[in-house]
Amino acid sequence: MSANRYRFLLTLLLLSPALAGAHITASDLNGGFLVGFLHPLGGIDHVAAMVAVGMWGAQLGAPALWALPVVFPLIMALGGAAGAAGLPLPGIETGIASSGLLLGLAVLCNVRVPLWVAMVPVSVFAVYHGFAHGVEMPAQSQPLLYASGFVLATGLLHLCGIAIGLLWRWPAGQWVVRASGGLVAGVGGFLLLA
Amino acid sequence: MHAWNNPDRCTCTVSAPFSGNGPGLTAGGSAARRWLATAGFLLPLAAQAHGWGGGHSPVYSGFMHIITNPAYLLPLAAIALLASRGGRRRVLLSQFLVAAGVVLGTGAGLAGFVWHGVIIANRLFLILAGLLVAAALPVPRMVLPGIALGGALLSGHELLVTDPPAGHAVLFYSGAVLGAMAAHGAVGAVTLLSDAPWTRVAVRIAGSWIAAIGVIYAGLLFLPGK
Repeated sequence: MSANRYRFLLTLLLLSPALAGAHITASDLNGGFLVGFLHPLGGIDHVAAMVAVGMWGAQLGAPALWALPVVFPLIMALGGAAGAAGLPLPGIETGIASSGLLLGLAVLCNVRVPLWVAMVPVSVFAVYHGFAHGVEMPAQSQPLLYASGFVLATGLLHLCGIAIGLLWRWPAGQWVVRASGGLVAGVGGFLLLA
Repeated sequence: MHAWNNPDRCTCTVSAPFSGNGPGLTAGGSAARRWLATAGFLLPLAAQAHGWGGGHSPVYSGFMHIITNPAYLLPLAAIALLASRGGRRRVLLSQFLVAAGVVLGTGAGLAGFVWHGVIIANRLFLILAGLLVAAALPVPRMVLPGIALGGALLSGHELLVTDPPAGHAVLFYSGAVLGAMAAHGAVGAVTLLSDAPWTRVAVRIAGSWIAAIGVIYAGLLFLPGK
């Protein structure tokens, strides 16, 4: 089957008026997966920090390129479970805002450190972000769907950051990456002061 | 003479190109297939969501239970990702073991053995399998079949414990087996599509996502709170 035909069929599929709502009901989507998916995307603090993680990983190159996005969700999950379980963690908002500021500065200044050193702040910030997701999990939602949603959204934000960070190989791209890092740091700094 | 070979009798513009060795298999056939596909996709009542509610289709119900619930889908995806590291033959072997595992898991329940600890065991399996994929740790060849069989068995048994069948049980669980094979096969096939280095990275990242979801859910099972 030619590529054009695939494209044509895909277009038709997208235009199809009938949607299968099998098993995952509207309430699941409202209180489960969709809420979890939108939570990291709905806050500029989360978006900025997640994108910065991806950009910094790409800047540092392999193995940080894939190691940071692999480690982040795992540690974030621990924070998420703690938050959903109601365990205490002080300074959540400060920690999240600081993550944007410091990770943004790391990208802006092209901070080059060994992988294990990069892992430390990224892991600490992951706990804070995960904790915030867990705390705000709606009580009536399905935990598995909610967790699937916010882990997936976080991973996609990392991929966006990696995509931006891969511009680093071109001279003009380096300016774009640094400017993006500066923007993230600015957002983080603003939220820290606000 | 068939109707499609007789221009005077043939009033249908669609069936002729599908006549096997009929005259319309080239350009006309392509256009007709496209037309049919268009008609099919534009049908307003194509999907019967929740059809199992009325007991009309237990097979469909079992199939959809597996592929729409992360509790069953994610362990199967993790098994497929693990198996894909061994290549096509491993995925094929794992495919049959997954089917056998779901049969055993549901069959044990139907035979009267019901283990309610399966939910926790399945979450722990999710974490373990996800971590194995994320870390890309070498899994001995003899261990992988055990992981595939055991993981699918847990998923099948959890399905039996948490989602009682709507309709005929054997048909429902047959659908579940098909769903497990479809989910596992799809993930395995997609993973095997490319040999590019980024595929290995993507597999590891997917493994970390699976493990992370397992950690959160397991945490909620063990810790008080929501």
